[in-house]
Amino acid sequence: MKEGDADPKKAAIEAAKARAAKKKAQMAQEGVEPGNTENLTDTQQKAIDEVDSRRGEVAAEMRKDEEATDSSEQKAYNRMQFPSFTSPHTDRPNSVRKNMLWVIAALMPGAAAMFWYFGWGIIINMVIASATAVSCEALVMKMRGRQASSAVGDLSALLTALLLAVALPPLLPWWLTVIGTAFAIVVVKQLYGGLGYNPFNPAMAGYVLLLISYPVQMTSWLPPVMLNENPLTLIQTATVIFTGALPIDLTWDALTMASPLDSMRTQLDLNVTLSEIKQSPLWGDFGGRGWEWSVTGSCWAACS
Amino acid sequence: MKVGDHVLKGEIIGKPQGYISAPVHAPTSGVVTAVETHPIPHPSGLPAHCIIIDSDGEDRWCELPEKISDYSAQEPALLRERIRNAGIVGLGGAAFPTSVKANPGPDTKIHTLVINGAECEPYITCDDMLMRQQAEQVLTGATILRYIIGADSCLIAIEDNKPEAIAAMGAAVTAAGIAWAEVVSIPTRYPSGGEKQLIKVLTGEEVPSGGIPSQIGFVCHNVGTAAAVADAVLEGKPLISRYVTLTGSGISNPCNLEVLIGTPANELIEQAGGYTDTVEKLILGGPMMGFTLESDVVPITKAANCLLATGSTESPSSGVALACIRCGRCAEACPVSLLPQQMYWYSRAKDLKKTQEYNLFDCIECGCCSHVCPSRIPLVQYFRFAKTESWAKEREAKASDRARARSEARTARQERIKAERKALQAKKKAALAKKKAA
Repeated sequence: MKEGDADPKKAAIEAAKARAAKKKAQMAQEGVEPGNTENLTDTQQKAIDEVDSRRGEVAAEMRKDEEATDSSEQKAYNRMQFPSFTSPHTDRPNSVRKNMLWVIAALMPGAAAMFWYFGWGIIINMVIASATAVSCEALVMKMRGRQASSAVGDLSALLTALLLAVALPPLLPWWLTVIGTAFAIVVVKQLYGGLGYNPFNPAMAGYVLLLISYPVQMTSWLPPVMLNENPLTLIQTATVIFTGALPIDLTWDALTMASPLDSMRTQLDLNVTLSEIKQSPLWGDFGGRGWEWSVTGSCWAACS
Repeated sequence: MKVGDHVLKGEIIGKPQGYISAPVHAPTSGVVTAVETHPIPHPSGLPAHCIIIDSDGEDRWCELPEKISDYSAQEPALLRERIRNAGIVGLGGAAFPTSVKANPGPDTKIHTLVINGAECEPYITCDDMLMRQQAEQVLTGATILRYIIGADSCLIAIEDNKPEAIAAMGAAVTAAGIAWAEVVSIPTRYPSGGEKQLIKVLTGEEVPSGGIPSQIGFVCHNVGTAAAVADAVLEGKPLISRYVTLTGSGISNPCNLEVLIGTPANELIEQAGGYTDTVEKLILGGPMMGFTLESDVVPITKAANCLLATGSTESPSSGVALACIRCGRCAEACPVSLLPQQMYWYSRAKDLKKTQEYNLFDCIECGCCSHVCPSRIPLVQYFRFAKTESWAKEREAKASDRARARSEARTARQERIKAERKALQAKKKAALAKKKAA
């Protein structure tokens, strides 16, 4: 054996010793003490030794078992780690989207009745308002640096659009529907913090804005279908809404009429009695003709 | 307890601290191999002091206190002492010392003892199993508890989805020829297992806000607690085991087991066939109020009624909480008729005073509001936060009050000493002057 061989060995031993000392010092610094195993009586030490030896046997047995069954699963369920969640740990039955869907569903009977009495304008308004609301919602969410898909996906913007659309006159120029809806979503809803933080109902605030700013257009209602001598087709309605051009031979006066409430006020001012006013074809069985069933439809849906 | 100590089954290894506390007994015989901080099943996730016993497999009992066969010849106080020494706590999940609950005080007349066999939460069936297997034991415990608290009648409430338990308890009552006890089948509706809710379901009476059932003449004990009381009084055995439900689609063979307190949860799960492939969460308690365990190497405690391992479809993540849309479903769902929505806004704003005006402290944290919330807001967590924050504030206020009182007393004392010294000086001066004059 050469002398040079012994030295590296010695050096390795010294290095290991140094490492151990370092670790010990580190442990002492961290306050880790090697268990309360000092000052044991002989019998205690004996008991521990016994247990230790038994543990060794058990471990050896378990290892044998594992080898025999070769089950990696068994290892898996010894000392599993799990993620942490807060209660309740249930499959939640409700979501905002579901809520909004229900309200939209409840809106449908009333909307259908309105379509029946006032024609295609209601549908066109719904489409314009929905497109505006969804794009405004997505745009603002993007500007706020939030996820646009989740906000649009909760359907609250769509609901606002539909609510506003059924409140608007059927032949309202398209740009008014756009202004009302955009105001509802951008200013009334999103500028206040979005869903849940709006102090006003966005659809109704949008309606108020339009009513104050464009009172003539907002009060030009079509007569209900049974009083309407010139019912418009889909194409004609769309033309009126998007271009303002009326079908040939028709004027605004021929198309629109006073609302039942307005007519009642005027007649009352003329000292006509209530029962006389109600004989006018404008009035149905228990309300303004055409309106009675739209309102009943909405109420029924809202109550059920 | 020291490492190396040999303990026998039933030996006290942890002494109670204070009145509302209970001792801990060795669940089996063996050698103490460590006294150290170890993970425990607690919502905080913090570890606590544990005694680790390596069982010797002999399961040898220590010397037990004398059996009491005729408990009615004993003073109630003595029986309470016995229950206390047996380490019995409410096994429904709250783990409140039974001896304290069985001591309503001399001025409180208890007319009805309620034995709670309505399971705490969905999934859990350990009480059901106990009643089916040990109906007589439960009834004996109820008889002893009735004697201790001096109640006239006893209502044994069981949810109507447990016909076997109802039959077993009914048969036990009939066999014993007891006229004062009645088995009542109640609708299965969470959270009727809560004692205040149960009393309302049974009798229509409401425990006043901030109060406890004994104020209106009721005391409520869990069926498991009753069985443990019977064991402790008649046999002298301490509380060292309980029934635990192992369930959920994450466990291969769901079952109820009678488990020694302190058994590691992972061993129980192994006993139940291990986890399935779909396991995702491990919950201690039920799905509504339970908390997730990060590791399954935790001991079963006296309060642990259920280990629920859920699969991914069973308890999907609730996702990101959205804003409150004021739909009011939480208020409809609240069994205590609180307004969770209002309490949520005020908790968020840390307006603790306002949350208390809305009776925050009557919230039983049942989780119904969180369950129905369409925005998936963790409402209960907000309320827990507001509660703990309120307690902390209260403690602070108390501490500052005490400090102020102390400093005032100190000032007063110093002034008094000063005045006394002055008076003494004046007296001396006067005496001196007198002497001089004389």
